[in-house]
Amino acid sequence: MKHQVETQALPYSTIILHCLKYPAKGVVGLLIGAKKGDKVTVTGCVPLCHESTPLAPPLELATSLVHAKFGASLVGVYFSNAMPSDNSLNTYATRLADRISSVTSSPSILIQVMNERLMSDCDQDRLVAYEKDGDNWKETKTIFQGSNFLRGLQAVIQKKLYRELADFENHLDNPDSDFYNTSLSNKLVQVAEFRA
Amino acid sequence: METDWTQISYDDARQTLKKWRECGVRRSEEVVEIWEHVVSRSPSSLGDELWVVLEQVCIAGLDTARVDLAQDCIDQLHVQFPKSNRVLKLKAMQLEATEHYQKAQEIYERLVEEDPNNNSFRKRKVAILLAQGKRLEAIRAINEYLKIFLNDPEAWLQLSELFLLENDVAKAAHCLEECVLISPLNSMYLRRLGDLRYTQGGAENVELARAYYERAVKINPTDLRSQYGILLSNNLIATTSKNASEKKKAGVAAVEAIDNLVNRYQKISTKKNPESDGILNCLEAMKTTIGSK
Amino acid sequence: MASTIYRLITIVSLLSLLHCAYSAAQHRFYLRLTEQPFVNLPADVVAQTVISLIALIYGTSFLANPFLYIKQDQHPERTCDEALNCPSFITFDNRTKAMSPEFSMLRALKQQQRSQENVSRGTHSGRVSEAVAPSETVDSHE
Repeated sequence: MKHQVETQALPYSTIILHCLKYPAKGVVGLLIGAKKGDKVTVTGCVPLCHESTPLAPPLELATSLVHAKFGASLVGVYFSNAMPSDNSLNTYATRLADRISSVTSSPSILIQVMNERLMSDCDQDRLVAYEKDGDNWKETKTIFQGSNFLRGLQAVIQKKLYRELADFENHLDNPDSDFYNTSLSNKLVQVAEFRA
Repeated sequence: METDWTQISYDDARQTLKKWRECGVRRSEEVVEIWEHVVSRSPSSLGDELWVVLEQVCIAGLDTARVDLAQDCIDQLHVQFPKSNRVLKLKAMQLEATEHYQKAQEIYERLVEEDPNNNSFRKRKVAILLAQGKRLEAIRAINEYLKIFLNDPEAWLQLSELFLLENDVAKAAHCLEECVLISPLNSMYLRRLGDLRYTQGGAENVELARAYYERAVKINPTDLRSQYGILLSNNLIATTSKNASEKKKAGVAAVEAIDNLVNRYQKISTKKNPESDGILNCLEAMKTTIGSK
Repeated sequence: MASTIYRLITIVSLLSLLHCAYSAAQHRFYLRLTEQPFVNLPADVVAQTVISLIALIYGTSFLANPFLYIKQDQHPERTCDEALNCPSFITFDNRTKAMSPEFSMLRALKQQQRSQENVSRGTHSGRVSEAVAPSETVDSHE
């Protein structure tokens, strides 16, 4: 079944901020959203790790915590490779997506951030979505937010809000950090005037 | 809230740069900010520290695609140390950043010939392979390097990362075992080794993982990841073990780990982390599930 | 409650040690008065010293902070970013570079080079497509 994936402004910018906080490393995170028919709407995200090869313990922990909080709203995984020219699928991310499929008993989606499209004057969608087709992941259609959103995103990046983002690994180093980024989300909505 | 690096005092800036230099942490954008807004206003006040700071800023500049800043630093260093190999290494790193890999390679080979005992030039040759995405060749090169410089934990760590990228968790774990042999009191290495063994899976590996986590907690009681590691490994052993007494022991240990974690989370105020209550509830729920087994 | 007992033991043993010191000094003074050579302290003073020393050590070990292992991690506050970083192997091909306008020109040239290679591979089979011209342009650009 061919899904369409729409990523709302808030999780979209959080994903980009996660990539920008660690520009030299791969990132992996979870996607929260809703499925309706053949459309998947991503309404939130939880940044997990800033390495291309995240190991089982933090992933299992984070998945159980996030699944306990969001239940069936856990729809997939996002990732970005460390090297901009590398457009391959991260095997650790795909394995995590498969695991989420089995935990939530429904097919999950995979989103990749295309590093080469991160330039401010690029007007393409920076995210590419994939869904499972048999044993392989096939690219699927994404619904792009448009140039208004890109303007808001640029404002957020200028203010260097990525420094306030905390992922699950930051939380494990210092449990005071909130890896759900509630206060950052409020700031993002304010600064970029996203309609949440 | 996050520090605004452009507004800190000169002394704070100097201390921060020194701390980051010694820890070896990669915060290049912030280093460039601190340099441009604070320290470069009065570089002579650094005294002799200026040269190491320039080196640090140069590398940070290359890391943040600020080739102009890096060139500036290299020029200043070249004036002060005209025949230095260390400055030549920075020039070669600049060539790497601008993708002139062949020229950089030639410089490193010359430097290795001149000074075979300096391991940093050999490591840069490996870095060129990594930048070009030639992982298998990089693995071979690091193996050759490690035959000469056996006690370099950084090289073993890098090799471990490369094996993980090649999906070979077993070999990555062997590399990390070497790191642990070199620095047995580094709790991060032990914890990472525990993670790798847990990821490998299988009853023996999970028990090994548990042993590593327990040792990590012993030498670093504040490490949250190792506590979680003990919880996860004991939980897995309790669920999959066939031996009833082992199951019971593991269950008890898991519950104890949860108690330690709950203690830790209770000390966090909800103002700092509004989600800490949610995590506490989750842990309590886990406790009841494990306790009921 | 428990700590008061240990505090009591510590204070009593300290006072007892002071008392032993005073007794020893008194004993020497007495020996000097009676012009006897100093050989040994009397057995009761020695016994009291040893017992109060042991009691003092026992008491303070409970009053002081809990025991720590001798072999400890020297940097317990280190984050995973610091501990697992390999700065000597740093590479500069990262997102910041992908986003910087200076390097976009380099990338465009590389793409041109790649498309030239594809074209030449399609039309001729044996030609070596080493793009010397674009890299020279890059050199002069610096």
